[in-house]
Amino acid sequence: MNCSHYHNLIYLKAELSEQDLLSLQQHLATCTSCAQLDAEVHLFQETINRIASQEIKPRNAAALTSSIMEAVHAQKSGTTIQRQVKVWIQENLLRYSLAALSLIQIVFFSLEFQNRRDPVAEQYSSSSNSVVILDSDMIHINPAERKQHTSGFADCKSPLIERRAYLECLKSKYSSTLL
Amino acid sequence: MDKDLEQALINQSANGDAIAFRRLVEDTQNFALSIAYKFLNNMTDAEDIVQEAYVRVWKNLHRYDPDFRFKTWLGKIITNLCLDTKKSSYRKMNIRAVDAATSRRVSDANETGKHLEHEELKEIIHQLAASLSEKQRTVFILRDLQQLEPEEVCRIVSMSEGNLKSNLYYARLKMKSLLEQYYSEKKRF
Repeated sequence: MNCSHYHNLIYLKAELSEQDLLSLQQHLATCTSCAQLDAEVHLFQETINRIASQEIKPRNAAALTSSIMEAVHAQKSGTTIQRQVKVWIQENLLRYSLAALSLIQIVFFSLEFQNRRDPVAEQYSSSSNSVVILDSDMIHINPAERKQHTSGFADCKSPLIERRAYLECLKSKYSSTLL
Repeated sequence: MDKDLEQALINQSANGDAIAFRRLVEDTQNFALSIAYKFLNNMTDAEDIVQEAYVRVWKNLHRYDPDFRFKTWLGKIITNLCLDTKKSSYRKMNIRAVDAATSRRVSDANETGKHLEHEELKEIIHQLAASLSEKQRTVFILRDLQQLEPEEVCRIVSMSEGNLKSNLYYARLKMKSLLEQYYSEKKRF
């Protein structure tokens, strides 16, 4: 191998595997320029190690710990509220969603029912099918007769009778009265 | 700290035990401060970063991976915070680094022949490190200035071993060159 390969190894001496370190040492024993570089890098590393060995301590360790714990406590109370909100949402989300859904359904069906048109009423609301009892038709009949004619209408008023049947009954009674 | 005790404290802290968390802080704050200071070279800024880092740790304790050492995880948070918050400052420092080193040469001219004081050397190293790329500076600080194991550095910066060695090689090469340049300039004065 050439010297440039060993130059890399010289800079990474502390990170080398045993095999690479052995190979480097063997080369350094035979190559003056690489040995010179090795000495320079060694000096550089010593300088760096002097800086690294200096212990960094806080100006006031207890004060630093206290300020850290204060910051954590401030965070903790904020987090507690956030957690409570989150838990409340998780626990009640399904319940309130179902309630809201039910309410929406009730409102929807109410509106739908209001707008719904009765097919029977619709049929009889048109003039061709409606039974129109005109006062002018009845006015020439004396009260006794009128009572007799109209009393028959009461037969059609049974609550058991269906609305369509009731209207048919009423129509037939009225027609017979006029005839 | 014993690994089992550390894990127990982490579990208790994750369940909201502030006393357990305080013990973790007391045990690791010097380590955290040391990394932050080596990145920022300013004690006040470093303490602010450490405080912010522990708040993040507290918030994310439930996400802690026991495969990581707690200090490695803490180191990762500190490193990310330092890189995030100081990106712009580093750019400015990068521009100023050479100027500052030059002005120091002039001011130190009268001290030619004396050894650099420890604090001055530290200052110079930090200023010169500012001219490295972000990855090179990060691995240089964590591996050389903080003296973490290569595996730990790889985990902190999420880097392969090969990538770490490559960045470390270029960082050392450049730092050695800058230091030599600094010393030769100083001798000239």
